[in-house]
Amino acid sequence: MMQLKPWYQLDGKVFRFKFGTENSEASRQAAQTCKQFSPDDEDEQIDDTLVSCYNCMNRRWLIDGVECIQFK
Amino acid sequence: MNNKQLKSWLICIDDTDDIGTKGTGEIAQEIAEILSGDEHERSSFITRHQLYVHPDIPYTSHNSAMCFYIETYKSLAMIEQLAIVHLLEESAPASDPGLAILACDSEFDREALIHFGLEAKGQVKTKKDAYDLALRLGVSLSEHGGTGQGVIGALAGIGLRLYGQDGRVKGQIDLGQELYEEGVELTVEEVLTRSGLDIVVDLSGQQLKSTEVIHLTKKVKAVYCQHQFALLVYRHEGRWCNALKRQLKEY
Repeated sequence: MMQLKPWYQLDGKVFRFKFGTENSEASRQAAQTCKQFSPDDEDEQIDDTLVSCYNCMNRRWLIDGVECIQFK
Repeated sequence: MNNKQLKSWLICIDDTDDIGTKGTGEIAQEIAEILSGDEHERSSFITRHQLYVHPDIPYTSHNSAMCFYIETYKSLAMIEQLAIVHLLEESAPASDPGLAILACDSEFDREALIHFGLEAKGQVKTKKDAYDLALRLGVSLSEHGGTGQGVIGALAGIGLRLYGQDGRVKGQIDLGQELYEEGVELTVEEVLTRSGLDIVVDLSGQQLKSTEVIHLTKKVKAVYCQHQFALLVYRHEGRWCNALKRQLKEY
């Protein structure tokens, strides 16, 4: 979890991506650091660069953001 | 004499997968192949429809339904049977699968289905909402394990397909562009002939002429737009290019 702290923060019980849903650059940087990155189905990917939290099986879309569930 | 009649159906499934299991799109593809395997039968591309994400809605890593159109000689009872057997075999144990089947040749309240689909993109719907509407409109709607919550997305997916302006096409369009680092250049006419798509449109929905040249690179994906399967393109450095994933996200 520590490795992702620059990009994620605990928001109640949610480990939330700090940069919202439109910041591909930050999403890629975080995923490159993460040892648990695992790509979701190709049909569910939304970033053209594969290694990106937005493309990860462990991300969950929230109403207003993105959550990482790998530590749940 | 063959008395069997070819009939048209829209079929949609939702909530069949779990982390690391076969995706809903793949299961939809398999069902489409099972149902349209006989001579003259055919199925369309599969469309993926994004639904609402909300804490009250359980979903895997996304919340999307997969829908396809088929023309088949099979009866509704046979379609249901074959689809359900496959869903039971292939759905993840922890999933909540739903199946919706609409007879396109029947009379039904199209607007009500579209309305339900659009609402399911922005608000929490209940199983009761889905079953009540399906019963009223004569849509076959059934659940096959878990909470059965997938019936909501399955019915919504039918509505969104009828809407004609929603959904990305499952899978990628292979036009040889990945064989070359610089991609390939094809005319609109060549793209349509080789891909089976219907139209090429820009980000504003304007259709391109058949002689326009498209520069295709990397992953090429299509969307459902103007009731047709469409290649989405954008203008970049003076030429038309296949849309980026972030541009496809709108669908």
